Amino acid sequence: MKVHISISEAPASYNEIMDFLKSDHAGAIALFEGVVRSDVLDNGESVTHLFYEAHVPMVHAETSLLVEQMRQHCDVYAIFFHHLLGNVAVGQTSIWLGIAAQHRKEAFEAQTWFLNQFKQRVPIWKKELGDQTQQWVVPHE
Amino acid sequence: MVVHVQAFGILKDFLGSSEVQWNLSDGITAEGVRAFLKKNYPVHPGLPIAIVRDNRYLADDEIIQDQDHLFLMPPVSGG
Repeated sequence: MKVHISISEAPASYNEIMDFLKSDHAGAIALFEGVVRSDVLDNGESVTHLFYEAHVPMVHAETSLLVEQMRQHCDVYAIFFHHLLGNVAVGQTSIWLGIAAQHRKEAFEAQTWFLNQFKQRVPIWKKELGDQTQQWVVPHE
Repeated sequence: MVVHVQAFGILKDFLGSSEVQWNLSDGITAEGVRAFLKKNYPVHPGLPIAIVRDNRYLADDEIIQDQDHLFLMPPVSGG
């Protein structure tokens, strides 16, 4: 399985992702983009940006572990994962997850499984920024 | 002994900084570090906190060493 894992302040490009994922055997490519939305902060202000930080070595380690676990029960050919760091404005993409598989069923299942695990395990944190205030996002367990 | 601590996410707000140094008792465990944090800083008692050393999550009973570099991690929120 081909694997790309990266995290940086530079966005991924569609061509880069598709060049990595496409092959003669992959009949399905599922590409997910997580886009920053304008939620409302506790004080009623609208979110304008998200700020992301991470423990980068652990991001690579945990994401690689997720890929290994996914490989055991998902039949996919390639995975492309990229996450942004720093400030990301509303409407901009902060995470890309592309999966290539023989059929769409495997691609969608792998994508959903990976995203669910990622949201619980990969050490990245985000802060919601408004014009006047900011607050860390802390998921409730 | 002295340990070097780097915090992430909302824990930085509680510590007032992203990096601090603590003087801790010899033989303290990861769970002891967590208790120290919650005793000395206004951290919500129910907030789960993971402790990482050398790119590995520590079990509760693992012993902290002098001059260790520890990373304190609240629940993740990427994506």
